[in-house]
Amino acid sequence: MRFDRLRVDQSVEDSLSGVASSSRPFDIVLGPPECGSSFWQCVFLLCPLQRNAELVRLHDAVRRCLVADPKVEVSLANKTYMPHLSLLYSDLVGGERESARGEAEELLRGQAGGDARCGSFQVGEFELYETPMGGTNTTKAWRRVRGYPLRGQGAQV
Amino acid sequence: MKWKKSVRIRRELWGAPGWVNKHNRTWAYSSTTVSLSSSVSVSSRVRMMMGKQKHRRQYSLWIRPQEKSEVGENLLGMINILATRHNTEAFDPHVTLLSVFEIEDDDLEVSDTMSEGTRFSQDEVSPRTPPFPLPFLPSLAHN
Repeated sequence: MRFDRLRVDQSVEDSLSGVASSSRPFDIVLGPPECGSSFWQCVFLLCPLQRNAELVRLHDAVRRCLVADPKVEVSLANKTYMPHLSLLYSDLVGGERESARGEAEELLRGQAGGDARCGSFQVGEFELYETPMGGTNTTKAWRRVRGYPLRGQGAQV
Repeated sequence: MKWKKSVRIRRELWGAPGWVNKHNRTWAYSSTTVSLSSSVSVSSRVRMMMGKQKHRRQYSLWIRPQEKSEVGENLLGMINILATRHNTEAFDPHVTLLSVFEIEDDDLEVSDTMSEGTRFSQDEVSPRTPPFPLPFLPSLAHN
């Protein structure tokens, strides 16, 4: 059986396109590796809030528009946005997590000439991914739906 | 049992055997009962059985470094190495802009999704996964 579709509701498309068209490209600054307590936040690079104001602003904008859409249900696990770039999804426990964090730090040092920070990268778009969770810790069903290029000029909205 | 118009469906289609009265909008199926021949459209039957059903799908918004960039390649390399070392899945490097949210999916209303040209055949039916939830399924669990 085929479901020949990879699109979402038009109102959602319009909302996200609207946010993207009024947001300008920016940089994301990455911090050193850290480890968390959940499967999905085992080892990650935290994006410090004070150095990623544009990212937080974009998060607020897409969140506002989706919350306002009656066809969308936004239920964030964390009420406070904690931007990060995951390096490892795993259910390691205790010291194993810290050990994995140390491995990530070593890898970063090897790549960045002794600096355990990854630096930054430029953001030109955000992307919609279908990420069925289904209570399982797997990424196999995740797939890209489409991208939304940031086309804004001048000051951020 | 007296089912005048039972319809035979592969047992695997819904995952459990059972007989049902078609006139009560329930269906008959068992491991020995029919089967939709490969030339028969299931869409009309499914529509009859189910009517429209809303679905919700889960999405996230991501920001990814450019794949060809140095940062992007370095991060992907790290993720692959760590995933291999810890025997877990690798993934594309990304910063989640908005974590999982659900969108009502009109397109998956059965009658809209399955065009006239869309047909199940026996070969196309997954042996394990029902194509969509059946609201009356619990009532079918009894033989």
